Amino acid sequence: MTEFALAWKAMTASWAVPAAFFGVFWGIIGGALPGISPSIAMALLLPFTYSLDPITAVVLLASVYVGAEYGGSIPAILIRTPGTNSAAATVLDGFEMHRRGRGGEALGISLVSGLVGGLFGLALLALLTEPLARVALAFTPPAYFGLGILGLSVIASLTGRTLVKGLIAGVLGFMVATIGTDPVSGVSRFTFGSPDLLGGIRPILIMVGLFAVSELMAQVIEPPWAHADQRTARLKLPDWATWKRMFKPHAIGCVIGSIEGVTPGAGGTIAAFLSYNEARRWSKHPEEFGHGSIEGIAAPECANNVVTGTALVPLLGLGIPGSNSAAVLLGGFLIHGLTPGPMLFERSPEVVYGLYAGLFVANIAMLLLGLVILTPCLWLVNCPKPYLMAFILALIVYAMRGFGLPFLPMVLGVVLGFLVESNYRRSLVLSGGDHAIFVQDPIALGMLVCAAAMIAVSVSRELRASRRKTGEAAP
Amino acid sequence: MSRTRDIACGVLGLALASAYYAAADAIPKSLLADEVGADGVPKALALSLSLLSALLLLRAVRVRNAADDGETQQASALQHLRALGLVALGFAYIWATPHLGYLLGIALLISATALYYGSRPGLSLVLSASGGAVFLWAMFAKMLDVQMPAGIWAHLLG
Amino acid sequence: MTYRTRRLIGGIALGIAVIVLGATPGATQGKYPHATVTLVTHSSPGGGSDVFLRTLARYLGPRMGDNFVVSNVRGGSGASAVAKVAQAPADGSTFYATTPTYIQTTLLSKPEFGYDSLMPVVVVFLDPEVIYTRAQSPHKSLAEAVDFARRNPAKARWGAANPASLERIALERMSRMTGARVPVVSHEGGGDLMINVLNGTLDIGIGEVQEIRGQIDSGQIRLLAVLTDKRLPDFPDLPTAKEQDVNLVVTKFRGLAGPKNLPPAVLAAWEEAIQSVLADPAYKKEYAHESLVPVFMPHDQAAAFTDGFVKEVTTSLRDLGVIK
Repeated sequence: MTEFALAWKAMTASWAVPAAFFGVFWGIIGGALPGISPSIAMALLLPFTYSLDPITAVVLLASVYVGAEYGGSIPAILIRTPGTNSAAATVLDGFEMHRRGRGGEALGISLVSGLVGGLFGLALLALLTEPLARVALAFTPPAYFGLGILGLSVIASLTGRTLVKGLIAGVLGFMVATIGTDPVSGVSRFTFGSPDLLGGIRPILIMVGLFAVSELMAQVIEPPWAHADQRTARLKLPDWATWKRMFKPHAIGCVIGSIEGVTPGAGGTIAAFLSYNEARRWSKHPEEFGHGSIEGIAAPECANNVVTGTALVPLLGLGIPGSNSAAVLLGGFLIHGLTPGPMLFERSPEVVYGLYAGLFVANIAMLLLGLVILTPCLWLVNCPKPYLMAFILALIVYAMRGFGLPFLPMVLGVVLGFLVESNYRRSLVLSGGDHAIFVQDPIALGMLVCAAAMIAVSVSRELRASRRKTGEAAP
Repeated sequence: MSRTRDIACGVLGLALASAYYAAADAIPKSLLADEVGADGVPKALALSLSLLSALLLLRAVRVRNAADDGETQQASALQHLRALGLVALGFAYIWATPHLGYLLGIALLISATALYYGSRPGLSLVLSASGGAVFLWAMFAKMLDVQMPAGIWAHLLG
Repeated sequence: MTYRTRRLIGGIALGIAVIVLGATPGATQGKYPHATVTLVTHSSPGGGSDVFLRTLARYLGPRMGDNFVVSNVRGGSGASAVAKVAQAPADGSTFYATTPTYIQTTLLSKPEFGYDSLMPVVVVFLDPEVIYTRAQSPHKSLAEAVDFARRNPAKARWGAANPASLERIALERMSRMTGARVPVVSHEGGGDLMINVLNGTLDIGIGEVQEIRGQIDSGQIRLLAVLTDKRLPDFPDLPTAKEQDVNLVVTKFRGLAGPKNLPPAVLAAWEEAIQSVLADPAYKKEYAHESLVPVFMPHDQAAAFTDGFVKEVTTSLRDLGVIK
């Protein structure tokens, strides 16, 4: 009970509660703005945390993260543009739902799914930091490679009938991911002398180009559908029947999110896509996916909010920031002379338990603020430099649309390309060039087998479909 | 329809694959590199792209009257041109903003886009453009402290 | 255009004018010519240089009577941040937090604006680099780890945080120098590297003390050697690499640079302020906790030091065949 007493004291003796509310509010705004990633939103507040007491400071930063992971889904649903990388999977069904005049319902589903995920992630963080930290350590470079391949294999099942085009789009995305500094030798690749490209192209820019600009362009051709029904943006919280349908996708999102969250560097994006895919596989209504499925929003939105809790596991359990956002939080600790890691539990338990309590408040604040913010919500943003890239890409994307190339495989390629390539090569450096390393590592082997199974199912489906097609065409 | 599209896609894919391969081949060699090398994975990608494009081409040529994949109806050339006009607006904005400054640039972009979408010129347009611009500017340049071009104003007034 | 619209646009223009004028720094209030000074770093928020600048700014603020703004200009392995500062007015309003990264990037990527388009102002700290392994590892010293690598060329694995970093170069040099020929695995930052040291994938890792403080404190890792000339005051029992017959010294510095042709008054103001801030007991306590070694170098020395450093890095990059 001393933990609760400490947490309670930390909450009442500091400004942590208002900080959690403000942090979530700020995070939702930052997350909803494409181009402002959760870590940037946190970093913008970092200087203001100097003058705060340590508990308030870390609660503020962690709350921004909670808000931002949720906020990314708002533009994903409303303007077909994910505000954060990990909201990309939400576009699939969220925007479809909105297009069908059920935008308010979609926003409600993503809000409560975020809450479920956030609280589940927090519970894991508070109860299982130590065992979960060991999971993080079990991931070696070959295992990361396997994880990346597993993520890419979602392409196969996402694209269905157009597998070849899906793969082409995935390869194109992977090609984009190779732009920048080479992960092993440090030479620059495909930068054509531009220093702006040395750090690579940020995936969110691709997404803005892929989704938002292409949507705008498509609307020049088709009259904008929004005119037909303008009352769609009223928030509607799920009723009991919806809750029942969300149970399974939430469970899937929680499991996948907790595993991906604790592995540093993997993050919410893979978690969101994998849980979307699994939710569809296990669903009673897989045909609804891609046409505004409730489960298609619930699973990824739950998964990426689980990550807000579990991503802190490596930071608190090992002292290692597992993501950019965790790195900013690490900065927040350091500035107050606190070093995260196992020792923090002994030296400053009040900060740790205060952080847990603050995260709890932040999740509740997310629900309350979501209810207030969402109704008048339609954020559209513009900022010249990032959009330069978006406009250039828009041309390519427009061509892609013309060729019937699907977007999501490209997103997966862009997001996972670097992870896959760098860990592939790192593993081979470790093994002295021997590919056997990928089957010797049990985690890597498991992931690769899953990926192979996923691809095999899709390929056989594709072959069957094309045989049927030629069979129909021949006589 | 779908067939010509696939053929074009395949041909373009092959072209892109060879260009990308050539660029990958030009990556400087470094002694810090591993066995795979900085060009290893890109070359594999280029090969996969050319294989996939070839497959697409082959299939499109073989399957004569394949049914359309059920995708959206094709737009006319004029409509394509209209859509590209939006991109032209975007480029104009990017070209002009460093001179005009973010605030004015974005206001002009908002009004131009609205006009392009067919809204009538009038006070409401000007108001929404200036209001939107001030909002975005306050949000990015002031609140979020994102570096935005100030344009010629800084020289004229500073 | 109607009269009304024109008036509106006029109003907007006036509004811009007021805001721009309002933002112009007010004339010299304190002794320093600017009310707001921007400190640029290539590091992400919470990263090494970022924490360095933010902490420094907290102590400098009251001394210089300015408001310091830290700006994280990421991208291009530091090239973007350097370009920004190089193009800023040379009036003492913008500075760049130097680390060896900006020299490495200039030499390796040859961007338009490199280290030579900036002017070193001061060097403030040396950041000691250490070689470490996990607590369960059989290696008790660097000598043992190197010996193991020599005897088991197929088994030993070493790791550094970033592909072409100073640390990576140092380990590659060590690998050649000792004849161990160990593959050096590069990562995407210190966290990544730490995971692979802790789970035993790598035998040894290299990093700054402040970066791995958490793992040192909690006993997850064991330090094997420090890559400085002398032992560190807070780790008196930790031998240097030289003492273990590995002649490797890595000089990671932290300082400030500005656009070329800074006025002498600005340079003098910074030299004075940095000196006095380093003597501040509260600041001393903070940097001692991060094991930063204060080595104040005024402009002249900093410039000479930077030149020497560039020569050294160029030579080792050439020896490794990375550049011609």
